[in-house]
Amino acid sequence: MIRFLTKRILMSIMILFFVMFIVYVIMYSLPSSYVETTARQLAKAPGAQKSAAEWIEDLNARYGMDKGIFLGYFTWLKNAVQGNFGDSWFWTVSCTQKFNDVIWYSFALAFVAFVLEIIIAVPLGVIAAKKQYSGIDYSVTVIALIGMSLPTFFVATLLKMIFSVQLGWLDISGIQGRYYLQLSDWGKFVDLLKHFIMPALTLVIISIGPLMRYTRTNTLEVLNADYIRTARAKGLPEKRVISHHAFRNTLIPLVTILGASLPGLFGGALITETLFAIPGIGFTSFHAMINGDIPFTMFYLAFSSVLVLAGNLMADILYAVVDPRVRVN
Amino acid sequence: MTKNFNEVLRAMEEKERRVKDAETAEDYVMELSDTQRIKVLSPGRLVAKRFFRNKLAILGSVILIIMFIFSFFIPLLYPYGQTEIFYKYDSLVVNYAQANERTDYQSYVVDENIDVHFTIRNRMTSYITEMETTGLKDLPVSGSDGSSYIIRKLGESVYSLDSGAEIEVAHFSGMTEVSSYNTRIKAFLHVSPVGEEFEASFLSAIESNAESFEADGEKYNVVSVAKNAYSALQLSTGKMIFPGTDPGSGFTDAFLEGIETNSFEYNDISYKISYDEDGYRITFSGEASTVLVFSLFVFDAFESGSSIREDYKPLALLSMYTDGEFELDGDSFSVEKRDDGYVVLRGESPVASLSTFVVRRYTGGDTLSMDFKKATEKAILEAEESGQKTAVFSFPLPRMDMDGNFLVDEKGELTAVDTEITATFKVGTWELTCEQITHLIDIYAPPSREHIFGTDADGFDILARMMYGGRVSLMVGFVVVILEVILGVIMGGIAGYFAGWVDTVIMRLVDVFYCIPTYPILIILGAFFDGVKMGSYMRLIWMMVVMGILGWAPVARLVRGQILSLREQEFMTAAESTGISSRRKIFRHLIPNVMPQLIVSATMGLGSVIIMESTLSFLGLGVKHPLATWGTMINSITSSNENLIRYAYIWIPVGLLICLTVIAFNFVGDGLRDAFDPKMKQ
Repeated sequence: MIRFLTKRILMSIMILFFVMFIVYVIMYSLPSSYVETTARQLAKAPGAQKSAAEWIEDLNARYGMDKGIFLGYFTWLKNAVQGNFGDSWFWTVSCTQKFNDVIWYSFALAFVAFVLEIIIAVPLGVIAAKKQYSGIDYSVTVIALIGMSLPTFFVATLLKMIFSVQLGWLDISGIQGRYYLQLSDWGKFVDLLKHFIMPALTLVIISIGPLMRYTRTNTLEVLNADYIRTARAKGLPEKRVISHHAFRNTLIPLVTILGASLPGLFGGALITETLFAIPGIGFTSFHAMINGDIPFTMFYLAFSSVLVLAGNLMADILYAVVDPRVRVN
Repeated sequence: MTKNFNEVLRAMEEKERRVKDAETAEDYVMELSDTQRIKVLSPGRLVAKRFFRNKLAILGSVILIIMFIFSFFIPLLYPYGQTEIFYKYDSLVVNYAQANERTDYQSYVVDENIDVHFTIRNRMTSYITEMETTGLKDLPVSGSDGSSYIIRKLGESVYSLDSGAEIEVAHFSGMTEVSSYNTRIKAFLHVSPVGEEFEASFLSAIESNAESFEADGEKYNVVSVAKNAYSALQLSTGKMIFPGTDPGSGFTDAFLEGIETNSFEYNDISYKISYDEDGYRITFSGEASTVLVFSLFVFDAFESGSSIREDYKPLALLSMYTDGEFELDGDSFSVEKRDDGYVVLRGESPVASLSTFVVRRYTGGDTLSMDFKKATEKAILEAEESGQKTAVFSFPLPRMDMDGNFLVDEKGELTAVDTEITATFKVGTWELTCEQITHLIDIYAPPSREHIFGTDADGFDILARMMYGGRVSLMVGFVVVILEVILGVIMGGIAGYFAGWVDTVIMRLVDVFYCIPTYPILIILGAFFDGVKMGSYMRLIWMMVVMGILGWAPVARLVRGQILSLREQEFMTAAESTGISSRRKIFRHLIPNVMPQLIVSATMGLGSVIIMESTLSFLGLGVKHPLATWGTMINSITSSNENLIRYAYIWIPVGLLICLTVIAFNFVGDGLRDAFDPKMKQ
């Protein structure tokens, strides 16, 4: 097991190395206007000592852009391994500090949505499987498919129109209400929660479909298994068959897939956060990316790649933990 | 006994024909062992049969067919294009005219030959103000170059600037002082000896404040030299100095004769005498010639639109306060005072009216009719009297139809309709506004028969843009998915077939591509395209290429997995034993067997590509204006909260189009999967 894990981890590191190399090449090849814009701004600033061309040289040197692709990449990699991702050009603080400031908003939002998703999707999936080809089953299938087909921005805009513009219950975007600073601690918490309602709802609506379908398929598989037939044959009540024998076995793949998505909770919802102006990692990176902030973009891409790889690793480990049959092999 | 191959074939054909004849015959009875009793469907038809049994799949197919017709065929019949701008004629409150009381004097040139020095011109307004406040009729002024002029008030609001009023002809000076007298100590101080008569005449001249006196046949001039001190100068000792030409002998005598009256005549020309410290100035007081006329009056032509000749304006102004008659180029004109102001007539017909109240088109042009001006003046005067800042009056203005054309009656004359005109006083000017039909871009038109969904912020027809947006979305979806499938099949096929190190390399590459986050890369590229200002079509192509490159990994993994299991099967062993090439084995025997899964995953992938494209477009990083896409259409509406509700009838249908298309692809994909592999459906 340990050998297997070590192998997987080493493989992941290798993949990460190449992913980051490709990303670095892309970022390097873009004739980044940001360096030039920054240089021009710096040159125009009162008391500027250097011309724009000198500033470009200076900035390129500072960000390792002048060493050629390979050397530049290894410079970046060396710094990154030491946890030094440089200063964000757009946010004007160091990448890691900005990350620390914003990551918990992302996590909170993703976690709320994740919990809601499980609470809604798993029971519905099990019920749909239990009553296959019934009205409920069809509704669940259709709702899941519709949810998968809705673009995030459409859901977000619809929610904004209904809850913010028409009903006026929630703020249209942002994380703090207008009177946030005058509120008590509890009031601040409630205010924060209120601002999470629409983003979380959006996330739940668009990502509930796959989980629902997955639960349904797996439950059906389990319900067709021999041991369920045995349980029924020995006269157990249907409720017990489902909740004890079937559901526990359904959990095996479910826990695996849910566990695998745990690292993703830190990844932030790029689109949703941007649409609702939740200052999480997604929102922060979106603005860094569209403003040509190379250091922060590199940091974010590295971070999300690590999360994907961590998710895969997690799935492998959990599979072994949950299903003893895997461990034997 | 062996038959040759041809005979065998012929026998078989014969048998088949007999069976066929028997089948078609009426009295044919099928036997239990007959193979024809079992209807065998080809695999393709089996799949189709299963597919069409699925209601959701049918629904999805129908939606997709409608969507294709909507996006690709209806635009061919639909009259509008995606970038066709629509205009409308709408009644709009426009600034029609402006009116104000003239307060600044305008100059009219009378004599072009005389250049008035700029210092005079510049100070003209203040001179006139000075004359108005002091009530002076004439004001002599001189410019910094020494030229002197007289400003004369001809009448209310009309002033003339006359030049040449006083031109110095000669200067008389150098007279010797004969005696002086101090009135305080009452004593003479004689420079040269004088008689009794002189003293008496001198004293009487001082007492009577006369300028000169005569004594002993000599003329003397009395000059006040200091306080209480006068001196007597002997005139005959003075010398006449001519700056110009000498008018002739006898001029000095004539001057001496006229010194008492301050004027004299010589050769029928009258001269003026004035005294200054150096002596006498003799100036020519000939005909003053008027150079400029300044007036508050403006000329309004009686016939609207006709221009007034510039050259008769000053003549009219000059004559308006006298007999009012003047001639120009053989035409005789007259200025007549009427109740509502002065009118210039050519012969009997009125040409222009003079008033200090100006009504002009907002653009400055004098194209308004006289009646309109009178009506405006009346309304505004009434408002001013009652102290109001707004005046409303109605006036028949030329009528326009809804297309903005002027309406004419049978005679070809413009018809008029009473229009309500509002005059508002703003910063010294009355602004006249009225509702007029104007030609403008038809933005945010509500749904109508011409534009079923109305128009957008650019005046584009929304229904047309919905269709073209669908075209872009579907095209992007298909191109990207086809690219993904081609790349994925090639890479996956090679990996699965060759196994070994090729497989390892390709699969690690797949892992790498799995790991590259798609959205961030596309967002970065979108921002980059914005930065280099790439054209709409180029960035559309680039976006599709990048999406295809980023999306091939899952396809490759699928193909590889399938091929790994297929190549162990018997038919592959059979294919191998025939000794065909690897390429044929992969692409003729293996890939076709992967097709079902490929088709399913491609159909499902189409939906997600469309979502991705519209999301990017919504964020402004995908397909750009003027190309229509569903994402941009929604984005352009939802930028403000107010529009979110007001134009919900635009963006919700567009959003539903996206959803419907994606749902349809998902339904069809789901249906296809169930149809291809019924075991998977549970």
